[in-house]
Amino acid sequence: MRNRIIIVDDDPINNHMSSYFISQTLTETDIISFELPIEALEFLNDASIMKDESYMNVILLDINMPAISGWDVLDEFEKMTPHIHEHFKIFLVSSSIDPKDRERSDANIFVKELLSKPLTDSVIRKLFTA
Amino acid sequence: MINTEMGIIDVLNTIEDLAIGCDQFDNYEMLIENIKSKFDSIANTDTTGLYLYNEGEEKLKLIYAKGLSKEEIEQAEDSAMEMHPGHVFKTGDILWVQDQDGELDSHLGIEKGLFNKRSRLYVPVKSGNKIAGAFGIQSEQANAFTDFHLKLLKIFAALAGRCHYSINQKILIKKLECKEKEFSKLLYNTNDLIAAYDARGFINYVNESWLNRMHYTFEDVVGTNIFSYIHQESHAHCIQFFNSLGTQQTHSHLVEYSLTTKHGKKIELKGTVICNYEDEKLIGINSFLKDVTDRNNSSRKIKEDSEIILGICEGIPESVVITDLNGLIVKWDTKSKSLFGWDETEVKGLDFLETIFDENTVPQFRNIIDECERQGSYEFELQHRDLKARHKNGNEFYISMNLVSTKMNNEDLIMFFVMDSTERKKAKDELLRSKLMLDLILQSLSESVWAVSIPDNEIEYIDKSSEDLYGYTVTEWYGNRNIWMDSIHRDDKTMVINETEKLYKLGQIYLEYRIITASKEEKWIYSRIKILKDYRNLPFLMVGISGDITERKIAEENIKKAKIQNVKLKSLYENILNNIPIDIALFDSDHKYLFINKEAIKDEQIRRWMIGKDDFDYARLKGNSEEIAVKRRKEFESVIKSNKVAFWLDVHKNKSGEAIYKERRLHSFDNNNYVIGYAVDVTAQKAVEHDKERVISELIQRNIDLEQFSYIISHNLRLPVANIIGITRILADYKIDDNDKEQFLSGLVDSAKQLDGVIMDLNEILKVRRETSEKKEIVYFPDVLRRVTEDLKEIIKQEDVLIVSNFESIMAIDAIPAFMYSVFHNLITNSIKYKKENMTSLIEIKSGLFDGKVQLSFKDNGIGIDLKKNMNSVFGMYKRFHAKVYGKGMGLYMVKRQVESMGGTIKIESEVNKGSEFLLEFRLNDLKISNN
Repeated sequence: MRNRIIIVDDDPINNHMSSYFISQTLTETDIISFELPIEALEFLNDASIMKDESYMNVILLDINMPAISGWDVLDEFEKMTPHIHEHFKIFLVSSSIDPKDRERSDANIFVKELLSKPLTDSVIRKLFTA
Repeated sequence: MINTEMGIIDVLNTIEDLAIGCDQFDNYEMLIENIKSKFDSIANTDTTGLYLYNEGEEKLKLIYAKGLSKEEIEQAEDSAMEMHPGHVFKTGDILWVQDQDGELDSHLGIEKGLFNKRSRLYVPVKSGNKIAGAFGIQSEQANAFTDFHLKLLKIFAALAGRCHYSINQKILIKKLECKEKEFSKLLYNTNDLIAAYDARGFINYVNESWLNRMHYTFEDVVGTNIFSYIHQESHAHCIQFFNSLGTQQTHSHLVEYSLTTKHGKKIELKGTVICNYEDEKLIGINSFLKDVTDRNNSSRKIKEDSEIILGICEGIPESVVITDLNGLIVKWDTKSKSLFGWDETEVKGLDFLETIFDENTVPQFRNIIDECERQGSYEFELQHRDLKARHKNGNEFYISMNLVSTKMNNEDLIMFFVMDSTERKKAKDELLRSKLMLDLILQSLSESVWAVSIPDNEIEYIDKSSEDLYGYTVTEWYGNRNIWMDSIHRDDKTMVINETEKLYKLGQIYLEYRIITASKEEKWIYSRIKILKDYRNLPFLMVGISGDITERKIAEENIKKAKIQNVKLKSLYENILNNIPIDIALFDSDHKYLFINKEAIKDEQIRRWMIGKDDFDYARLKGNSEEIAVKRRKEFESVIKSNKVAFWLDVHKNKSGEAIYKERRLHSFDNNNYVIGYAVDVTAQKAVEHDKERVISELIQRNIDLEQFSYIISHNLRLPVANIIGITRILADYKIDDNDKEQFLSGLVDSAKQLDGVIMDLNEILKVRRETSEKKEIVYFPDVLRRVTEDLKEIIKQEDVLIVSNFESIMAIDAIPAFMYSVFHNLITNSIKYKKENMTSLIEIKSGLFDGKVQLSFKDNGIGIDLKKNMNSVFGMYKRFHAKVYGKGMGLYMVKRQVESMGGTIKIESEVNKGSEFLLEFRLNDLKISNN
């Protein structure tokens, strides 16, 4: 089973940067990035239909995005099948140091952890082991 | 009921009118009309009733009833004696029941609950010394009556009593006059000589027969003394008789004396004298005499020569009957036939007494004759008056009879001279009855009647009523000539003396003055004094009537006092009200001003003018719009309807354009008859409140700003910083190829720019705060729009935008020009940004005045915003709602800040795919509006 990281963030600079970090740190990992959360949700729905079990997925989900925020994506995720829930680990990512976001993420069972931007080597290494 | 000063003055005037008029009413109808109209105009009661006692029917008649149907009036009258009016009438007490009072009702013998009126107030109506009835008011409500009602009722009852008394007196006097007319007709027609004179013999009256017989005229004899007509022969006898009258106390005397006619001829008279005594003092003498000259002559002649008796008998006016000593008729002349109806042939030989008298009268004569027989002397002469006799046809009539013993042909006989005295008897009875009635009237009058001789000031006559009035007995009066003058109140003495002096010139006077009674009580009385002159035209007697008017005087005094007091009170109240720093106005039930104080309207002329007018009149006077008057009328009507206090805040501009806040309050009282309005100036309070609100809202804004700042710092500032940290780490730690390096470097530049942009935005926000203190000026909407469209010329052309504007109703407001520009710029840009693709963007901008606020609307046909989701964050900073549209999320935040810093509000209405409308509102009193 291969590892795959899905980045959902409206900031292209961040996506580029994150992809680079991951590619340098986790060599055997596929990376997909979405600037529009709606595209990410479509991807998840497709994955749900196909029941593709060849990947272990980690989603790096930005909280602050226009139109559909990270929280909105989490709401949609909740409605998806247990199969998806099992195969997709979600990490929230934010440049924010807002304590409100921290509280909210702790309360959400689908969120593994709230990560602060920018991502570091050590954090990225732990993504699949956590 | 009566609550305004003016109202009380009206009441007083009304009562005064009635008090002055109350002696002038001739009948009850006038009295009722007057009391009804006047009392009703003052006292607003459910039921009013004036009961007066009717002696003939022995019941209380409801002579005036308000609020009762005909049946109810009859019912009330039937039960009045047993009910409350009767109680008041019998006891003379005031009855005041404020609620269903079982105790009192059972005391009156009234079944509880039978009487459903809940408040009752009755006062007695006093007429002279007597209680004539009761005056009362009733109400369905408990505790309906106050002291004021009692006072009013008392005053009206006193006036009603006064009227009643005055009317009754007039009726009595009229009755007496009628009787007197009838009586004098009788006196005039009789053959008897009738005269009336006083105790000293001065003639007051003689009848026609007297004058004819004496050959005098009425003017000749009235005022002269009877003794000047008495024949010398009778003089000594008459003086003795007169003197005896004063002590005898006998009313009726048989007399015989002679008078001398004008021509010196002697006439012999025989008859009755009736004396009038008042308290054992002789006050007058009436004589009823018959001319017996001819008869005496004939009886003398009979005695001399019985042979010619019969011939002579035919010549005298009396009927002559001759009987023997047993009373059997011997001779019956023709006059007897016409008097008794019997012919001589029918009665000759019959018992005379039995023929003409009934069995009660007969024995009386029998005794006389028997007595004569016993004494053996048949010489007698007897006279009997007013005997009841019987005519042949059975009719009864009165006769006077003289019987004389005589001898005819040496036979002892009795001669009866008989005269019809029916008329005389009638006149005598009438006189007695009249006298009784006069006494009755005098007694029923509470007035004192008196006579004082001139110039010696001796009390000649004073009646019993004077005892009640002055407290001195009649004997005390007769004994002390100074009582009258001494009892006059010190302060009125000079006036009375001065007025009395006018008496000789005027003949009669009317006085009102105070007296001090024997019991040292002060009373107001009136006296009507007349002077009587003797035949020499010299005054000899002062006759007067005096009566108690204390009650009326007190009522009048009280009215006067109350009037003065009220005028004083009124000016005092007005002074107080005019110096209270609150607007005060009193309205009647039609919302017309009854009073308005100085604080409310400074100009005294206008203040006076306002009385009786309303706010509409004021608006017309001032040339103002009727808006305020309409608003106030609405509040007034709600107060009248709900009976609750109306309370509102009202703003108007003073001359210098400053907003004045007034807290207004309206409430009604006295069953909505009056409404009082206050207005307190709360501008200072409002300014403080306003400042407080502003400070609070500023603080809230600051807080929001701070939150925004921390948000900006934690999100927007942190984002580029995170990127910069990340990229610099990559550049430092990793060996990267040139292509990547270039990409990261440009990302680094973008992030730095982004960081700079955020800092610039922060600066922009701070600028709004700073610029708020900038001066506002008139900003014309068309100018702002022109500048913005000019600046956005390129993008408008490029994006296919159509802007339509309408600023007709409001063209400009007082605002900060830079802010207004920003608002227009941001809202238009926003609409263009979120326009629908492939469709002309239509932006409608218009201004208007709604509910006292200036409204500015920006409406587009763009893609809209899902407000359900984003309601709270539309105007937030760095909020963007559409992923594909470029924008920092600053525009709407800035618009909101700027609008609010100018005192306005902004809200949005939007529907996805239909468009959005931004509504801006600015309060009028913060912004001057302009239509130019």
